[in-house]
Amino acid sequence: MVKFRFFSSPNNSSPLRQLWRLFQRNHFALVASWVFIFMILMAILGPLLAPYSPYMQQADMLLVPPSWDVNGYIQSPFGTDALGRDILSRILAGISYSFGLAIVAVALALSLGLLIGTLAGFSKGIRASFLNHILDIALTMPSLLIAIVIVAILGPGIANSFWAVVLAMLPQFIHHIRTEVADLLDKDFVIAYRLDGANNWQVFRFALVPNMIENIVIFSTMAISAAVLDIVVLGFIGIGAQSPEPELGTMIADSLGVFYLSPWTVMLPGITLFLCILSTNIVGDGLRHALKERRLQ
Amino acid sequence: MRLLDIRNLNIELVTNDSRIKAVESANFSMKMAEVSGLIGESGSGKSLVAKALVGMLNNRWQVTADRLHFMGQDLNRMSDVKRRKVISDNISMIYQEPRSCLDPTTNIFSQLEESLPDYEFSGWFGVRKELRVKKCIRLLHKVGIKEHQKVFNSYPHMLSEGICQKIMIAMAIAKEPKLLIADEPTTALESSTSLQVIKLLRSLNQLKDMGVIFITHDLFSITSWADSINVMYCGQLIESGLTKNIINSPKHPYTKALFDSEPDFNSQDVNNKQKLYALKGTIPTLQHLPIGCRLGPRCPNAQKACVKMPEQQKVKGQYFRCHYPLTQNWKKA
Amino acid sequence: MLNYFSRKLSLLFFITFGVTVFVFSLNYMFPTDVLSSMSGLTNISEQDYLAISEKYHLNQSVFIQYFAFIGRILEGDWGVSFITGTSIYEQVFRVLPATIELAIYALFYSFIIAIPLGVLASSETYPWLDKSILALSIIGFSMPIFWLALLLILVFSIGLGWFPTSGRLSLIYNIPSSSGFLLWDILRSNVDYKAEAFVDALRHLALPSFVLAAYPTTVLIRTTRQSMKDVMNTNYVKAAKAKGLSTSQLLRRHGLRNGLLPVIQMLGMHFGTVITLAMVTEVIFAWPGVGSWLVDAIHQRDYPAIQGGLLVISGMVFIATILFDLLYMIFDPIARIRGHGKI
Repeated sequence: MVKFRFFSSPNNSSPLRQLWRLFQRNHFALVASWVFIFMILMAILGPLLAPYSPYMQQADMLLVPPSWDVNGYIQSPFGTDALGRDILSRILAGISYSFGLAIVAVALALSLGLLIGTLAGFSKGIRASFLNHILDIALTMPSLLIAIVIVAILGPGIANSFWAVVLAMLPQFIHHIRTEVADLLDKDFVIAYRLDGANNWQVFRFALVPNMIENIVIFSTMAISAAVLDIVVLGFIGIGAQSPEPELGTMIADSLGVFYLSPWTVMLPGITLFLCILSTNIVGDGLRHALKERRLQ
Repeated sequence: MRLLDIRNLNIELVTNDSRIKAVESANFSMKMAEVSGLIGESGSGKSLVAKALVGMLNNRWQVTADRLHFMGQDLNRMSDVKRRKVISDNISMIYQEPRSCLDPTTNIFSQLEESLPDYEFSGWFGVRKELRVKKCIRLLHKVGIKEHQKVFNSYPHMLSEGICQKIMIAMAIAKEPKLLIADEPTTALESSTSLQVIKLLRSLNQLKDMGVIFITHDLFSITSWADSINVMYCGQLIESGLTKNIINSPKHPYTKALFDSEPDFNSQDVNNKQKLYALKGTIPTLQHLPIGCRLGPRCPNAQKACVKMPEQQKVKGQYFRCHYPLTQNWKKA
Repeated sequence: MLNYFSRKLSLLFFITFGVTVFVFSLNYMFPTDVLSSMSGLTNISEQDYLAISEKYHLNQSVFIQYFAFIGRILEGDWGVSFITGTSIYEQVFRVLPATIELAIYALFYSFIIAIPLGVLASSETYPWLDKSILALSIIGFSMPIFWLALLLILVFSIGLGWFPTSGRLSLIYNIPSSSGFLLWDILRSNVDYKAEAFVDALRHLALPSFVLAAYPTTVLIRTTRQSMKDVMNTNYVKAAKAKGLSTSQLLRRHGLRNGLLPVIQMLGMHFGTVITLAMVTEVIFAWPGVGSWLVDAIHQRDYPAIQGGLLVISGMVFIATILFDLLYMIFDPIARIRGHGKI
């Protein structure tokens, strides 16, 4: 037992860096974060890496099993689907549709939510209580239901389901940021900072943001997994991305007819999807855990 | 027979990458029906000792002792279940924040009722229930709460801190324990209520022959009625002895500093604008404890030997841990 | 107490107002004629047009239209479907019980599975148990519901042949429908194949309710574990332990009572999600509930039906939220005085 650690100077690194250091201790979460980063890379680079176009149909290669099967070919490592399209190319494109779009959607909802939520947090009186009631209604409606309604208005399609997911997540972001801002504004250090003469912008920049940032990161990570789920579910029930599009949920729905005959057409997109969501969730969980530990110190 | 005899008590906080000795080799003993004061600044480990005694610490704390005797029984040799039984039957504790120690979703009556011992009331179910209600009412009356019915039906958030503390005391004496540990019972209370609480504890000690460990950081709430006093600093029990000895001739520099820092306004020696005495420096944090005598860096008499933990010495029934004890009887001089 | 109820009532009123305004405004948002979206009639002839717009107050201000809309909703005149031409009101309330049945069974399962698992995981004596339960719950949480359903169908229906893949009941049984809740109807009916029909209904229910239960179960396990951990670390539980209560007494008298409060809250918050997941489950298992009905309506651009389905589903979610809130209030004495109009 080392009683004295000579180099244990008090660490003054930024909260996010401390969070990352604690996060690294959890090996599961670290591996998950590699998978997560890999998936992001695939979402960006996937279309470039894909050997074929995801729409290209080869009439002589229908329902070819994956390459590890006896009947598989190395030309299409993950096999082909009922129309002879290469599943690997479709999955790579699908990651950027389902997972990439979800991240973009979360980023958009986050920036809108940050703007509206902060303004709402600063407002008081009747405006605030009116907004509260509106948010209460929007929050009781589950995000998937809102997304379904919005798609019903806009009509099916991948672009519409993207907007639907953004709009459906927006109330949660606004609510989260608003409560956080309102809570922080009540804290004594913010009041002291105000008494020192800080204006609203300075309060936001130097008192609110540093205290909110960790929670926002964690909340956004969890929101990504919800957004992925929303997009693929919309695709699966046939009101999101439409049939030739290589969106993972749509792909699974398309292959339902040949599911019993050639299960890989459903399993492989499903496993990809599962990995995306699982890694996101583990990263989010690990971050939350690290945050709790950091608060304990 | 001694009520309590502890030798070499260590309480360690085990975290992922370190072990911190929060309480280091404390020796503590008390006679039957004695009132013993445990004094120290906040964070000196007084509450830890008390919580370790009643077994309230969670798994992150590791408690070891060379000897742990309670009324002649060796608690160290018992199984966990039996030790818990002996302790819960004979030792009660009242806490610093009474309200947080009461279940917010259960009414006062059922909480008070569950601290009654099971064996005491025999008879049919209906009769037994009635006896228990009567006992609860008597307990409340004893601690000075008159409106028992109203209090029975209340939830903790509806009552004031003072009432909650009295209820805690009622719960603590329900089993007529041999030892009552009062962990800063008066900090959350207003001064008039805190006086009532102290009076109550005092009368219980005298009428029921109940030993009391009174934990406090406030010297003068204890010196008037405690039989003996134990002083803690940073997890080390540095001095213990009879109250009058400790007041009149403290051996440890910290004890003296503690008494010096409370100005005596009754005597005439406090002049206008006179600088009040205080020990230099601050209490070290748990992560950065000095080796040896933990007072070392702040001690006015510290010398080279102080980097070793001083052995316990005994002079005229007064125990202390110091390499360079104070010798003169400074109060009389 | 009275204050609490009045707050809740005002909130309920506001919510009803908001939802009806939204559903009403859908008439104008749908890419179709306002009148046909309100009435459900297509190909309205010139001479009928005036008469019908008179009935729907189309020539008057939007406010009058809105109140007329509310009046029609209360009367049960929800328009007719574009596709079938039958009354939406009757259609919706014919399919609704199937959804409620599915959701209630799923919630019930998840409740009886999740609470003990969560309590077990919160115990500090078995860290490995905690880790494995937590891992299981995060896997379940990350499983897209339709994929889980497909996996289960592959294993249990195709592979093992234990459970049927779709529908509520085999076609060979004919049960007169009275309440719409199938199990109840079977019990009340006086057909001679009662027992067989009941077992068959249960077998049809097994897979969908398990799939649907996966999500609430994982959420509940995590909530229960966390809140039990918090409660067991509070001073009052430690004090009660020092009083000499045994572990089971501790759990019964203090632990569960306080630890399950956040669980009730969580259930209320996630009821809406369960209902939307029920919609997806219904689509996969061809369960004749309001979800698959609504998805069909969206596919067929049946705008009056979309409105009706939306109204019913959101109404159900709100009522459930308020019921859970009341339940919470019964168990938590502090919430009774606080009683903010918060959902």
